[in-house]
Amino acid sequence: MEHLIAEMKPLSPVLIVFTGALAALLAGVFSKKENSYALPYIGITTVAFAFVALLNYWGRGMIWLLQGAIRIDSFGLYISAIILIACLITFLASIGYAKRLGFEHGEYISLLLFASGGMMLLAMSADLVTLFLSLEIMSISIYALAGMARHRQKCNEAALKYFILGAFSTAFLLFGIALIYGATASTKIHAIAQVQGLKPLLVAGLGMLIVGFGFKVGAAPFHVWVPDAYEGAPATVTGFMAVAVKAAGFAALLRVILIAFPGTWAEYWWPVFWAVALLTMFLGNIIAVFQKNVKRMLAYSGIAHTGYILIGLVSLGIAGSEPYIPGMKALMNPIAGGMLFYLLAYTFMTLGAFAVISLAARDEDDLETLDDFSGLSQRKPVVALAMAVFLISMAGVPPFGGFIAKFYVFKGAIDVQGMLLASGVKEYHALALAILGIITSMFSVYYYLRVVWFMYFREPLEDRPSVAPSWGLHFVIFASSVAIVVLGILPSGFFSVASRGAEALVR
Amino acid sequence: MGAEQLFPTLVLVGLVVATATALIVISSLFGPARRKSREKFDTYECGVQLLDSARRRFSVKFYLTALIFLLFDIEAVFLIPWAVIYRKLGVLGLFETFFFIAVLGIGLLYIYRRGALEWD
Amino acid sequence: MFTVDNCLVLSAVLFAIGVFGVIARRNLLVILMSIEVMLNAVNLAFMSFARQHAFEGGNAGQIFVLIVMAVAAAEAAVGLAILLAFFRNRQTADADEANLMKN
Repeated sequence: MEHLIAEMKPLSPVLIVFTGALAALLAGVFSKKENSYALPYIGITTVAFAFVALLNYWGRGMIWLLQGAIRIDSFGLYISAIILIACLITFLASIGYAKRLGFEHGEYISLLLFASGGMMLLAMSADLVTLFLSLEIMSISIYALAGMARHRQKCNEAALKYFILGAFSTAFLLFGIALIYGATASTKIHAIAQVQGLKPLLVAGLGMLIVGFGFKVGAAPFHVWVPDAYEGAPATVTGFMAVAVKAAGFAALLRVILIAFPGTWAEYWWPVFWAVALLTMFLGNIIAVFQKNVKRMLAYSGIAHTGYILIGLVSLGIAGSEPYIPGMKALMNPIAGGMLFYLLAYTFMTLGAFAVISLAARDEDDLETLDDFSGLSQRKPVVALAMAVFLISMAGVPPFGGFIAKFYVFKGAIDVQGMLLASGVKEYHALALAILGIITSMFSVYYYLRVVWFMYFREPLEDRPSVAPSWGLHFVIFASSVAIVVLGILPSGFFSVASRGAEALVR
Repeated sequence: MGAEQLFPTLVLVGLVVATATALIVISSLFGPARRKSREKFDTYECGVQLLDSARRRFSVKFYLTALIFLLFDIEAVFLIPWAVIYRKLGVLGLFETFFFIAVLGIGLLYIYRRGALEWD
Repeated sequence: MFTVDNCLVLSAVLFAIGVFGVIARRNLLVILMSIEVMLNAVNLAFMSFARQHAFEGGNAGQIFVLIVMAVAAAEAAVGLAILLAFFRNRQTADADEANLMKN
């Protein structure tokens, strides 16, 4: 018994989140309707406690739990911190918003916490059984969240599409896991890496895993659900989906790919990710140019950001497949750190932008179309300024966090290229990807700045009665823009934290 | 498996067939004269007359009850492996299973308070 | 007859049938059932592999099957609830009718 409690202690951040989820569920059904405004505070308290518990284990090395099913290490803790931040921001932004859309229930809080707990567990799983289970805890909660405003037709549709494609991709992922289990007789990620030789089953399993994770992170050509799900879901949920699901999906992808298929295995997967990254960047950025709906445009821009993060994975693959080149191994940790830094910067800009979108434009609709943004600087100067910061940061213009994030990712690819050329390997894949990434992010400047132009140089339209934003929403918009600026001006401290996070995967 | 071990099973099968045949034969010999009617060939529903075709929309309440049943039914799947080896798992296993059931109990409490168990 | 290889082939065929159902059929309930077929195909694959690896220790394959069953039930419950909300607002269960959002 004492043994069990001692073993469960390092898992306390996740357990706190799940306990909070159950508490919110019960509080929702046992409290009176007029007290439902208090429900988000249960969530906020839970997240605060979980965060403290999390910080307690930062820098303590890795801890194996439950016969190797879970590994608590700096990587899992870093991703968990991002998820808790995303969850906290979502709670704060939902104050007022949930009521306006008619889902101020305990279930909303509870599902957000369940999803967060699942994501944290996903980032810590070292066994494919735990990985699958936590992935499903996350996914099922998010399906329900996407359809939370169940009287709105768009919302139903978003949930439906997300559910069908999500469940479909889960089946692929699961079949991939089955094939890997068949090839290696183990579901432990670290044991899979011990298998020598190339087995067709293992390669097929890896391919299906890539399909499954590709769906979750919204990489082309598996991105079809993203625009509809993001546009139809309530804005706060969309922000959470965009940030936390992506962070958790990348966490699982990185852990499985880098630990179970390391070294020369990379020769098999990096060309796949190279093509996927290229397609994702181009599709996301080009289609985003034609969007009239800002929410939908942000969905495509989210796809494009997935492409940029994947550049890091490709660089890691190229570096890993050429281990005999001196100095190549030393490059890997900064590249992975760059990817983790990107996820952090992306968290603030995306959640901030969706918080602005959750301000009402008409009655209960979100602030979505370009017309809604016309002249926002006159109606709400502070909000417009914050939105401009988020969008310019996403476009990758200095001095904001988004610029630094893109810089680290592109720099990683160029460094790998330089190392390859220095040792006489005449392959230009890394350089090509970096250059194409820079070109596509120039497209993106156009569509981000178009929104800014609408906000500042268009007259406001008459029929846009505005709802006063809650204090939580104000706080979120303010805090996110401050965070973006700080990440842009003083990135080195955050980058070293991110690199430490990456140490658990690549040293 | 030898033929001797199969013998009791064979006897049982024979008895069942014999009883069934006997029941049908005796009732047709001594029972009241049979009239053929529509009800005779209808679906048997505990003797209650049929109301309607089954191929129509059901009330959504059935869906809710069915889903709740499905979820709790499937969770029982995890109790069976535990029950098979519970001696090996000892007190710790017992504790873990109680914890599992307690979480399910919270779910049940939630369903009850939400009113999903009330028919009206 | 029931060799591990045959079971694996059957599982692959079932999975392909499920994929075909999701892609080709338009009724949302049929799509949901096809997804269940895919998950059950995976279960069959896990059981076959678990038998193949019976002597290499570990019973992860069998445990996985139980977990997949529970998860599939939860997924079906949420999926049906989403479908029901859609049906109430639209009076249809046709996937092609879900077309409110366009580029």
